[in-house]
Amino acid sequence: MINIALPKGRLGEKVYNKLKAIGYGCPAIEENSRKLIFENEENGVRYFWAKPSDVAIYVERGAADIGVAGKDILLEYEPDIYELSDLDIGKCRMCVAAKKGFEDNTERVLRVATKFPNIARNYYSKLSREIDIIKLNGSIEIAPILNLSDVIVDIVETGTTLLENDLEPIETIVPISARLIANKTGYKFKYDEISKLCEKLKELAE
Amino acid sequence: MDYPILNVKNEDEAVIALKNLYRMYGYLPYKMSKFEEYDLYVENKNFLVSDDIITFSDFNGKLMALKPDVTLSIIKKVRSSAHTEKLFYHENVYRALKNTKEVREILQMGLECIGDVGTYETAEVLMLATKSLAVLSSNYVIDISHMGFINGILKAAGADFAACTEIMTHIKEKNPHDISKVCDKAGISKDMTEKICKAATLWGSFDEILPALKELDVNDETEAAIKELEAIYEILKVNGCSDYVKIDFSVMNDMSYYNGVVFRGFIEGVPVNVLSGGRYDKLTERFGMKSGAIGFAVYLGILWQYIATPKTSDADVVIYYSEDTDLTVLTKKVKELTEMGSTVTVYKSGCKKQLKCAKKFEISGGRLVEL
Repeated sequence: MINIALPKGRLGEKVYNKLKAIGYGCPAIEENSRKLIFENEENGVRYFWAKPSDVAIYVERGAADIGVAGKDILLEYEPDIYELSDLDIGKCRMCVAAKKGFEDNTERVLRVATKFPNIARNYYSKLSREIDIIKLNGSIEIAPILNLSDVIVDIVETGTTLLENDLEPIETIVPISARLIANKTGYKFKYDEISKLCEKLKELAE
Repeated sequence: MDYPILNVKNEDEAVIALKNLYRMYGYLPYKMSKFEEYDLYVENKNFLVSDDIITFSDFNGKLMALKPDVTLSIIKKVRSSAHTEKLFYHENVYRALKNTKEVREILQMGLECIGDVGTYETAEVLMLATKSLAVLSSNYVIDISHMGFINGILKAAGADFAACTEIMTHIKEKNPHDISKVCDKAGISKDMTEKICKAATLWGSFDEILPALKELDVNDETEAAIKELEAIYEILKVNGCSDYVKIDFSVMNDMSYYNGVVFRGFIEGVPVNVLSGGRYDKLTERFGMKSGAIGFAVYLGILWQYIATPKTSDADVVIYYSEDTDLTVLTKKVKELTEMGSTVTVYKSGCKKQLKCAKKFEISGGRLVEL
């Protein structure tokens, strides 16, 4: 039995449909119910929905053998897991954005508002740029408008939200997509099952 | 994940069994102090699993540290020894947890072989690592890798330092898609990129993997590493341990300390590795020694975190007594029962504590009356 953690929301549903297409369907999950865990003994899978940013934790700590998480979450939390494949969905970019016409004044500390302090810190330390991190939990875009920060580090999908708020991306830190991750112990003791699933996912993509 | 099934009942039993195992192969116990001078760790920071070290000043103002690691202390002590030292230890180490930065005391058992380390000694340490896990559980795996192999293949690819660091991170993740991206950016040939991806994703027994390694043999370094793995395999086979050892190049330790085989041990049901070890000649070099060194640690403290242990009974028998009980009678009864081999606990009657005991008695008229 493989335990699979899926991120709640559109991305998770997309991934489930892929898994269903390669023979890991679970009828119970498609019924509208308040249940959180769904099992299909025949196919040897047990699914559960988790908050997207928690999937990596479930996998790292072994509550799930495999799971699906965005590269942004993996870069931010640096969980000790295997990253088995790039699912090539949920694509976006991690960007630095600022008010239109922004110019960086390197004479002073740069104020950076973000949900991803670890990614921001790593990025700017590679540039040897001193920064002041302002950790926010949402509505990052208003930070530069209210002069709370100089720039933001955030996920950009189409850029419409930025545009509507008179902001623009000035640098791409890293492209993001959904990744299939596995627990290090689970991978070994369920090697055949997990490899088979990965193989079939690969075939589906080709 | 299901709970792990263990072959030992508790931590004490595990410690005794492991000590016996290490003694059986001529390893001697080694005891050390809870703290060391901070300098020892600062000079070798990358050797440690975690950067966070708990420090304090002694009464002369010298900065001390609660030991986050045992190996460094052992090397410091044996560096002037002219012979091969085979030692084992059973110590607590102090580390900060990765995310919460809370301080943890972790029970660790391990052994080190320092001096003239050849193929036999390497295989012996690996065999003891395998047997250590066998003591704890029947469902275990040791993943073995070779730093020389990884170093060789990266050299052959001609990657610069920055690219190497990134590629190594992705090898650790068994992440072929990001390896390809980094290689592409660094201008590494398609053929070498494929070889690195293959090395990162391989996993299996010696029998399955050794033939595939021939394709990945690209220079003298990889050749030497493969030869060493083959030689180790032959010895493990004789010891009957080879089925539990898998080749996995995603196991990696810091290149500036480790040079030969490196390995990790896993037990089914425990999400993180419970054993870690490797060959670290480059560390002994830093201490001015010309000797080889290999060792491993078993994280017993971590293991017990994942075990569901139902509360065992408080005692076989509980005896309740009151204010007017004759205490000599009570004492005699306890003496009789313990001499018969039962465990006995005594409480005042009216005690509300929930006790798990097979039999409950009270003293009445100089006799035991079952409740």
